[in-house]
Amino acid sequence: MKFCTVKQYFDDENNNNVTNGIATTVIPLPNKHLKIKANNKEMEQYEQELLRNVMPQELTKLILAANYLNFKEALDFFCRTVANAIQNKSVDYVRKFFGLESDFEPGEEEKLCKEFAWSFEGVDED
Amino acid sequence: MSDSNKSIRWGYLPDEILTHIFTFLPIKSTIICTSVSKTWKSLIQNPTFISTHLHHSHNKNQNNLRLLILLRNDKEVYTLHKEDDDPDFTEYTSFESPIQAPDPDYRDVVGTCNGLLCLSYSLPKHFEEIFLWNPCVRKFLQLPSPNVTFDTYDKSLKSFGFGFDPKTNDYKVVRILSLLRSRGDFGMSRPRVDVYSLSTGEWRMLSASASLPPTCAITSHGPPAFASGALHWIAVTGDKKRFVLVFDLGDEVFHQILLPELPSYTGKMRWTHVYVYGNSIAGFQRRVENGQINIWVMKEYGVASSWTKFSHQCPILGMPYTHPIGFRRNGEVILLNMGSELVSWNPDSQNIKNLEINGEIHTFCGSYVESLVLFDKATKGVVTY
Repeated sequence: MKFCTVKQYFDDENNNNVTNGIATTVIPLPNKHLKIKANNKEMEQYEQELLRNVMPQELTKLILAANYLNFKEALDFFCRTVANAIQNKSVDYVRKFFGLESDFEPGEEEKLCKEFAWSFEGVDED
Repeated sequence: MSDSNKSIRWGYLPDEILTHIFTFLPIKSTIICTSVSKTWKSLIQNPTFISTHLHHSHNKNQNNLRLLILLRNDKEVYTLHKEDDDPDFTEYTSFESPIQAPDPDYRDVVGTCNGLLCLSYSLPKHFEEIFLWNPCVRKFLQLPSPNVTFDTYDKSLKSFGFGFDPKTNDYKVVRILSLLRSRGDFGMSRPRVDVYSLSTGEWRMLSASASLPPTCAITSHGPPAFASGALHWIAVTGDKKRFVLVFDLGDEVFHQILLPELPSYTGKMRWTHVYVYGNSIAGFQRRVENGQINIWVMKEYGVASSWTKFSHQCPILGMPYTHPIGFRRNGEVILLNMGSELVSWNPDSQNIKNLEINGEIHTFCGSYVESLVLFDKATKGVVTY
């Protein structure tokens, strides 16, 4: 771990609550990762737990923190967690998850859905 | 729990993090994401992202797949099989070809690379119809007709190859025409070479001397081996000497690799094919009188002295015509037993495993990786199905 970067990050961060959240989740990650690296099932369970206990806003901050700290393993882990959460989900589900709205012209979206109709087959129910 | 989903402002996740998230998604989900917003669509249908995604795919171990193309009941069948940690060659998925094949018997595989398949369909008295197809994103395109008179074309020995040039991030198809003076005589002129480039959408004839092969005829059947950025065929010179003809896709020049010399007492052996073997190539050599096959591997790519023969010959499984069609990632050889099933042969333990897949003469076996290549091409004749 790069201690200088970590200290600087925490000094820059104004909100102590967020800092604590990151401190308790991001920092212990390398050890946790090493311990359960071999076992995919355990990793999946840890991911599920993470999604349940961590607020989505905090997941954003965790991703940004890992990116700022240049902490590749944590960044990969969080991005993969998000990918797993939106995998095989509908467009509406993904939009709600990210808090986004459609910015397509009327008709544009229908055209896309028609073009890639096959990719929507078997998508999870919302 | 529902409160936490109400107003989540993720909008400010930088583009490179969004695309990093996308690289972890299966392809179908990535395609669904193009309908989420304009920004997401432009991030995904972007050549840079497609390259990053491909790079990520190559590095993900569980993405190593083997593609089998064969005819079953006169219908083309495309299946992908798992490679890593899977001794059973389990089928992972299958595709249906969108191309209206005039006659599947005349289908040839030109090559596969980065998730793209290059196929050619030939009808007597017609130019070949060549297609580039990515079954994962359901897009294909037909190449334009070659810029040569049909008369010349009809009298020539034709060979095709397909690969990727990382320097220009371009996919290329090569066509080599050896004009035949008369039946079985490939003439004394150097073959004509044309290259199609996906980025320009056009064929271009090579004219520089270094860009032409020596006077020779290609004798290997089936697609050339694409390894180390180059295409490899077995070719023969006027004085009946066989060698490996190499075409570097980036520099667009031809080289030769010498094949190992064999003492004459070993009987009449013929080099039949070159295949990709890891990061290098392997050559197959058949004993003319009994069909026995020796496999040679070039341990150090490009170094002729590093050709090493497998200690054991390929087993002959009952029929006289057993031939290898490729290698699995673990080094096992996939053997095609004509009219019968495919088997996997371990060249060290000599163990044979029946893969329980019916093979036939046109069975193709090659490595495959899922990709989004062609997904950003909305024009220039790209068909979505």
